[in-house]
Amino acid sequence: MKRREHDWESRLDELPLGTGGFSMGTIQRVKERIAVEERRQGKRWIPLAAAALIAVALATVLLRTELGDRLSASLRKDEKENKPVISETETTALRIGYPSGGDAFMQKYGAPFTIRHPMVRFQYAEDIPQAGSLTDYKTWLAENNVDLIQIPLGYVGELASEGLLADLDTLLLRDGALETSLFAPVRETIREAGAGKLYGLTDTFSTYGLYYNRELFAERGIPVPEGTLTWAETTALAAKFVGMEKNGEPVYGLGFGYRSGLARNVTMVGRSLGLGTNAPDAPRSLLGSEAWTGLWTSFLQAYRDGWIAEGGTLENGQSYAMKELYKLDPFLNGRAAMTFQSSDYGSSLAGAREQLGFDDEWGIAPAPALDDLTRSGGQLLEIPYVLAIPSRSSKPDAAWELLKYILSPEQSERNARTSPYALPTVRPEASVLAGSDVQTGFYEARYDADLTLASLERASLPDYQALLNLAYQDGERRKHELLDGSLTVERFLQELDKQAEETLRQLDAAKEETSP
Amino acid sequence: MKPTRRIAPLLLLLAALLLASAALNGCQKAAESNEPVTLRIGTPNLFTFEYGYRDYFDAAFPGWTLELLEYPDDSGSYSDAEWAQWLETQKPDLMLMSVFEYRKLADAGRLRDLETYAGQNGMELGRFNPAVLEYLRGNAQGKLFALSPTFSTTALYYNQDLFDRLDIPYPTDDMTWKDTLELAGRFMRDNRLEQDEFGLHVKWIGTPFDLMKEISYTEGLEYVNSRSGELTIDTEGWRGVFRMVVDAYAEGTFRPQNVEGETIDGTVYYGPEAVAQTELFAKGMAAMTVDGDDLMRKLKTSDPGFRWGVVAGPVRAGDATRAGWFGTGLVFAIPSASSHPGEAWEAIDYLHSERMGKASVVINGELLSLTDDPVWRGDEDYRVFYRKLPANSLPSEVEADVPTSFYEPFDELVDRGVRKVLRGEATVEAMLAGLQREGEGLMRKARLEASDSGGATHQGAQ
Repeated sequence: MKRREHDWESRLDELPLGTGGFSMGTIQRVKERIAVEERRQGKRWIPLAAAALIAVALATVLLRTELGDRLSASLRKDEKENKPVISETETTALRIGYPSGGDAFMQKYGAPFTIRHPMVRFQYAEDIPQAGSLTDYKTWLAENNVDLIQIPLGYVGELASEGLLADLDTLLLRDGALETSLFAPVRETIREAGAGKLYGLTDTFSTYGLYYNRELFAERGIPVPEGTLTWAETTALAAKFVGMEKNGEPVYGLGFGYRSGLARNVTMVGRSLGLGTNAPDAPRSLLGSEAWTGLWTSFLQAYRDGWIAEGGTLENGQSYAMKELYKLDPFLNGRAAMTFQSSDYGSSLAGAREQLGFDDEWGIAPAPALDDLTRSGGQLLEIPYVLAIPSRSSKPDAAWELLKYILSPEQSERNARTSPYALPTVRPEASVLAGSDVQTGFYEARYDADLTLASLERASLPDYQALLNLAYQDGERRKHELLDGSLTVERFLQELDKQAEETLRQLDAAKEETSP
Repeated sequence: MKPTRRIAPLLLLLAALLLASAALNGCQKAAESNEPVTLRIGTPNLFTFEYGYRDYFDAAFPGWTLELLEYPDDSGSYSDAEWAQWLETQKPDLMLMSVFEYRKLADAGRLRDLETYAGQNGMELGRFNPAVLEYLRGNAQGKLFALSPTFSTTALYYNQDLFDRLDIPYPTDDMTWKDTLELAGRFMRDNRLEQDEFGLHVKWIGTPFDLMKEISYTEGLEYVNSRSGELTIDTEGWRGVFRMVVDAYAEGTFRPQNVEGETIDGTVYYGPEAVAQTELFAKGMAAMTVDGDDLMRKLKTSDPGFRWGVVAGPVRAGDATRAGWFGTGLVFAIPSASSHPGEAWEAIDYLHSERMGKASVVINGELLSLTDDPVWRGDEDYRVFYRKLPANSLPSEVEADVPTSFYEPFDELVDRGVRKVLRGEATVEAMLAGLQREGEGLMRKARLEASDSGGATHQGAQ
């Protein structure tokens, strides 16, 4: 392609500073010409050398004067033609839909972005749906105009299919670098939510892990867990700690934090495995399914055998200092070999280190799988919300710049400093992450996008939540009967199923009453 | 070989050298900027730097490594020798600190003169609020050893609706406290004013002496010299302040507001409800108030339900160029011990630049030390805070010689004296003579108790 006459920018690309305004190519050609002339007409090289000297001297001066001015003018012209998406001189106003409000947005994203783009200004939509239904979001997005919005991941597919969200894949293709920096399971899960296209992004995610106390395992002479265990393997491993004591107090194989209990543990694990509570197409309970039965049975046995640690008893409505809560968590006191916790449990470990002096060595294994069949499938990712650019955005390019910054390595490092136990989608350098050596496990675990999305979809349904609560409440109420054997797991679940189906019928009736 | 043939290669060599020199000259700066920079920054605590400034550094100097050095917990009472040792061992390149530490280190000659750096690097000090520069030059050498990106100050706010309702002319710039109290008196004497409305209300003024102290800041008066402990209340200046306030109380111009706090272990705590009780102006119940720039931000972000205005003042009687209470935020300084003064200055330069300012006005809203603040904020109402020089000066962190146990009994002594005057049982002159005498007795007693118990003294009194 023929080079444009005034293509200064591309010429300057090959121009090191201080070459008197000539590109290396030009200098080379001048030198070549001088050499040719020398060979051709040896006696003429003196004036030529003098001319070259004058030319170079002139160029050195001119770069800073007339030629310099002309270059600057050309560059300015070129800059004008390639106007930045977010102006350095004129205000760019972006309208944001962020349910936690403007102050939270500013603190998390707005302030660092404004520092990089001082003429950007944010306005906030105040009536954005707060934990609203899909219909609420559809209506709101169809009627309102924002440039960036936080929406539940579970709604992305529907909102995109109605044309309410901008396709980010087009923009990713244009700025390819971002695609590869995103943690692939997060990217693919969000893409799957959009039926193969990317309609949103999140800067952090969370998940579950099996934390283990290296020192207790070493004392017991048991190898630490490697790779993904099943829950049966986990409970069998925990059982190996029966009878262990430390400083005169019992050590348990497995704990669930400061607030635990048979029913709480079972429902939490069931939820983390993505177990359903009811059939999607009929008012039929699934609480008595084989998977749920297996969980209740193995946890009940664990309580009977005494290798599962109980947390403390907390009064409802009472506030507790974190130090008091740490004291109730067996793992944080070196009295549980393993604990099943969220990925942000690192903050509790750091707190216990500081406030209780807990300094045992610990590690993280992936969250246990339900059984052998699901072991290879991967675990659940927690991505409740994503940031998306609505189709109606009047400044999609500026919004994309903001979204790109939110997913940039520098913002990721900032996240790692300000929220050190969240897992960034763009993984920062290991040195920045608090406890990065153990958090590595979360980036190496396998994740199941289908399971994640199905679980998210379920979690947004009132039926699912109602039945999960029912299982928890009824399990707590009948805990003693279960533990002393006067009530079998099968009988308990049969009765729970009946109650659950009655609850589903009531919910259906309530829905019919409120539907127009 | 002819002589000309011998000169020619030399000419070419010279040309090549010129080219190389020009290239080297141009590259030098780039090469310098590519060198890894590690800047050691002293800070009162990690949170202060991380929350207030980390984002700015990360954006402007992405390649720099910052090593944060927290000042020791007891550095507030450090002697010069202790600071010297800390600086020698820690070797900070840049220091973020309060004005108390700044004054101490500046007076001890442990900081670099920033005016020299500004001159060499083209920073226009003329763009700064003169009040900020004067305040920070208020050290023993009168030099600018630090800069602060932000400051805060007070102004006189008024409720236009209340003034219009009673057909009283609005306040103007350059009113003194006397003028202000007289204007407030017009409201209090007007029987159209509701029982719960005020002509002038100032937060946390609970006693006549509280108001006198507020006025004394503007007038530059001290009733006790914090360095020597000498009592200076029986002076012509204080006589004027006492007469003004006693008259205002006698005429009902100024009504105190007592807000009850919660006393826990001898300390009074004021919760959100108590604080809300003090905000009578924002509730539309006071015609005027003297308050900080944060009130303007509050009035602008949440519609108070009435029209309001603001003027500079109250000013010092006899010197209308000075008004209000003034203070900077934390200051940035380059210690003499800095190994990277060039980079430290680069950081200070950026922190006081247009680029930083335009972002800062929307991020935290504090008043910028640069006078372009209202332009970048897009709101000329804020210009009112740039019109006056400070009435107070940089606080001195000297070895205070006033025991803390002196203040409470002295305040009670003043209150008793004022009540006597209001009842007509004493004149202001006689009361002040008595306060001077009895106050000196209280001071002797407090010192004796403090020396017996090795007790605390009041630090940093102005």
